[in-house]
Amino acid sequence: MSSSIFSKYPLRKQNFDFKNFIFIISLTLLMACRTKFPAESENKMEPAPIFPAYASGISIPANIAPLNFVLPDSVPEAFVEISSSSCKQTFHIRHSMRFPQKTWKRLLQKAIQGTPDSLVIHIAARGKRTGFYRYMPLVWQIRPEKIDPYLTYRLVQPIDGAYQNLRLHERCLENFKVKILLSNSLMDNNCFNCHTYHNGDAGKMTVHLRKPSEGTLFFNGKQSSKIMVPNTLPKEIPDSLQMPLNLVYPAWHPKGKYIAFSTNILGTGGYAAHRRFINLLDSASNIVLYDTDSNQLFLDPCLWTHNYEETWPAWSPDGKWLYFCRTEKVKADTVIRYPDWSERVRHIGFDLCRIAFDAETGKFADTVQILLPSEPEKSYSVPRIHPEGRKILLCQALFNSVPYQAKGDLLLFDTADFTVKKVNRAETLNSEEAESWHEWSSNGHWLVFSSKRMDGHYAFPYIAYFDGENFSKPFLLPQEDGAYYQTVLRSFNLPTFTRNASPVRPHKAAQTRNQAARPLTIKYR
Amino acid sequence: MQVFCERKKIVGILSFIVTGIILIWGGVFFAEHFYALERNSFFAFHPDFLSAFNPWNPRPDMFPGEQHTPGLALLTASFAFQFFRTGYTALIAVILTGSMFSAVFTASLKRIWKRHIVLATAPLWATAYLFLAVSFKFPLHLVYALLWAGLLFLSATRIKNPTAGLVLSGLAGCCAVWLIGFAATMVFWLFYSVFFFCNTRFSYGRGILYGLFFIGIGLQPLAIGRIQAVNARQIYRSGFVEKWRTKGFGAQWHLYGLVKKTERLVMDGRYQEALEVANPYWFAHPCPIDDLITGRNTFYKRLSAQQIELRQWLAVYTKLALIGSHRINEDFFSYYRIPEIYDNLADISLPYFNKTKLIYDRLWGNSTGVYSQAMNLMELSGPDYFLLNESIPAALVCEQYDLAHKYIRLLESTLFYRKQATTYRKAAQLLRQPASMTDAEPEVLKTAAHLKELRNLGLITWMDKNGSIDLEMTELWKQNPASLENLEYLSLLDLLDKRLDKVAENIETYLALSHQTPPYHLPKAWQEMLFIMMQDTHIDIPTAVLPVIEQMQWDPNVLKQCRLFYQAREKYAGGGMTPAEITQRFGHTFAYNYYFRRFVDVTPSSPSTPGLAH
Repeated sequence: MSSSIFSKYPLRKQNFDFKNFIFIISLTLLMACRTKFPAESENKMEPAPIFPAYASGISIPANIAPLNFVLPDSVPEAFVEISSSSCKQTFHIRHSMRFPQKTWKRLLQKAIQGTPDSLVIHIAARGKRTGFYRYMPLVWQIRPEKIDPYLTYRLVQPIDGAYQNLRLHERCLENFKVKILLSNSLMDNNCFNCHTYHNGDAGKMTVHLRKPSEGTLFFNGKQSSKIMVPNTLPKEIPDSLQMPLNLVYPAWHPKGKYIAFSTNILGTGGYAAHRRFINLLDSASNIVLYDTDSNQLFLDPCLWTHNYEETWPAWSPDGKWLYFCRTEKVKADTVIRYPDWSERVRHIGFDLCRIAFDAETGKFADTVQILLPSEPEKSYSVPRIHPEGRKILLCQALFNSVPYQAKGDLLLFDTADFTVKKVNRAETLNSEEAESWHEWSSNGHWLVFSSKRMDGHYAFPYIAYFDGENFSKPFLLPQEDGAYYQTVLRSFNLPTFTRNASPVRPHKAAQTRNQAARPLTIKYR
Repeated sequence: MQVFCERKKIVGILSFIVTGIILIWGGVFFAEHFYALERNSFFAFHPDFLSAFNPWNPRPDMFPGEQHTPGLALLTASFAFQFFRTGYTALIAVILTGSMFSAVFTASLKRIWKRHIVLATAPLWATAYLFLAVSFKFPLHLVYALLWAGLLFLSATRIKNPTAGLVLSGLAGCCAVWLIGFAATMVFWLFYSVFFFCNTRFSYGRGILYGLFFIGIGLQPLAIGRIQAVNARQIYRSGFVEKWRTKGFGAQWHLYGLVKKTERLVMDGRYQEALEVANPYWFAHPCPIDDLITGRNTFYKRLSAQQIELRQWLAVYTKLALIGSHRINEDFFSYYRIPEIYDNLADISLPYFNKTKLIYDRLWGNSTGVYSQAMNLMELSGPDYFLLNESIPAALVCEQYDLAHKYIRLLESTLFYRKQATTYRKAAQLLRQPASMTDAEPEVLKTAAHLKELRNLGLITWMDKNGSIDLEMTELWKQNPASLENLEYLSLLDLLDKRLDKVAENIETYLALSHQTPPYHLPKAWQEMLFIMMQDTHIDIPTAVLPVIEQMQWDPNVLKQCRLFYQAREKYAGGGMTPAEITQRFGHTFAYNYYFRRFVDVTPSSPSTPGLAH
């Protein structure tokens, strides 16, 4: 190549060649339309190695976002044929399957109109040096019962004391839109926890902020306020009941006037042993009742005790019962026996209890009913009452009140006969790893919970269908990028359904924390 | 008008020269900000680069590249590399886009000149380079240096025969980059200047565009880790920096560079090299570094708080390097530091918690601690491949294979961690199913063996860190009786407390654990101990040790040193030697510790000799 070649061909302005343009575009389109399922393929009697592993037999709501997935990187080419009674479509993909929203809606059309349907997915994938393998078809049941359209969750590092970048997210389950509701980067980088809604209404939310701008924030539509408990309790409370007061785990009364709070002081610590990078211990906890109208905090003798630790309040849907978990305070001889708290915590078991409540007077009954007593290696926590009011889904762990341990499982408890049936109906939901942070949808047909089953460390949200008696196989919350969970380095903490989008905005919430806290009066009765 | 054009030209040329100087200066003295040297590379990759730039809905859970420490370098690299995630389509897109931009650059010129062709195809070359880098692990540095040097040389000198120019100048540039390293980068920037000087159609705006373009891609040869390392060494050896660094701000900047360099080496586990870097400073400024760390500093009391803090950092990393290197130099001087440092753990970890704790936990084999600190660091400063790389062994040690595979998968999508990640993948498979890999590569076998060793060393249950070091070491040894390291640590404490009988009891176990057959080899400090046992008539030699002594392979240096020590001791008793002289000559020996108890006595008023500066 000599320099003369360059000088021979000056750059000239040329006319646009429309014919060539059309030809190229047509050719591209023709190439793109090659989506015929391969006729010659070897059958494999196993499900396709998709990620997330959406199994055959899962039930999905009619209004869920597409269940996108990816095939292994080693798959250079694949065909995916998806069909329902209303539509059929074949896709030619490399290894990432992203269903177009419109196609997905067409596929689910019948179920949206109220008739159960099913999706059948055929996958044929080619290896790098092999022909096509046709895997066993996946069959997903489409339920006409709709899921609440929004899911709120915190994204956290599954490590104790790590909350430098803490955010509360709201994800629309009908598509992939995610919105940030709270961000601690706007709020002194403090920790916040346990966002709770009133009957699934995103307009009414409470969230607890920790130091340095500690307090509890209330959001009611576009209004927001803050309350803060005083440092000392009133003098009329006996000395034996002078205990620390924080507002930690809340539970809204169905009528919205009251909120029950547990007052935990949580200690965290790491474990060097396998799979236990974190553990939590309740060192002091009681339950108090907050009246949102009068801004008063009531300490009830049955729930503000010096010999028990009460935590995890949850109201029955009719508001007549407060369910909670309780354990006896650690005795002196236990402390002597197990001076190291990380060892001591293994000998603490929580019972499932309830106490009657009169919403008219705002008073609790005099007796606490133990529904499910703890046993060795069986400790109960996080009761969540089904909207119909009869069944309770709760965590059963080896010990303690925080279900972080690998053996944390979900348990369905029926209040009709006050016993756990021999067959745990929630067993379908459980795995070798921890399951926790479960929440019912407002119609009671869907359940979301966090599970560490994928890698034993990061908790991701799973959704399962409940027909009133049994659960179907859970499926992982779908993401736009099927490989999302392979790269995400955060746990989904406390996923909660809401029926509508939240009006909370991060900057507004950050301003609320600086508001003067409303004066709070404490009454012991 | 002519004056105006000349001025524009001069400004343009100067801007490139200044940019080059700034980059070179930054590369030498602030490499941490410009280049990912701790990764020994310029590149690191994250898959969601663009999402990090979405201001409406950022995804903090993914890899935000802009949070990486080296910032600029990784940002540029990430941008380039994101296209190679999706294969050939993206590759073509990059080529087309690059060519389009180049065409735009040159469109205003009425004729295509050879240098413009070269410029127009520069993105193509860059793309090909990156493609080769990602796909075939090509000898990149060589190819890259060759290409760039050739292309620029050709452009600058307007050689008539471009092919010959390409070959000759490429070879010349390549040789320059590899042989003279740093100087070549200067030449590189000079070429730019010459090129623009020669270009009669130069305009200020186009110059800026060209400049940005070249800065984006042209940073690479400057930033290649190995070249930088060579360059830095050459610069330090040349004496040029020596003059600059000893005065005023230069000294401060130099110290900062020293701290960062020591930190980087310590983080990379290159403890001996870290000591080599840090030692000259402490030899020149003898100061008890423990006092600096614990805030009892008197040596630097006249300095400002910031300057003291800088020295504190250096002290902390020097200490960590000392701990880390003890296995390498097998020197009792380093051994001695271990319990001392362990006692001061709280002092070390208070001001510099996460990073130093991570290194400390790594040194002690506390994999879960390393994991915890890595995660905490990522929470503070953003996700980081280096820290992810630290987390993989922790997950594998804890038998969390799925978790380890997640991290391995992430790292395999990067260029410079890919090889190591693949090694970890194979090692994990080997650990899980030993029979599955009969023909494993040596590197994989080595990694698997190391992980097994970590499993033995790691704590089984949580230990209270407030316990005394003796109790903790005893507990460690009890929990992991198969760990040679734990035995060494435990025996070290016995040595320091002059419990020779206990050490002697452990010799048999030590030999069994280290699978030794006669002639036996023991650590230097233990050899010294046995020598003292034989020499000192006050000490009863346990009968079990006698066969070991008979079949020992003595280190001649140890023997010589011990003999000299006894001679010096006699001299000292007769007044022929001062304590300072004894300390200076034998302060690092066990014998000194045994007979004189404390062997380091450095005070601000009487700074010690270089050999005892720590």
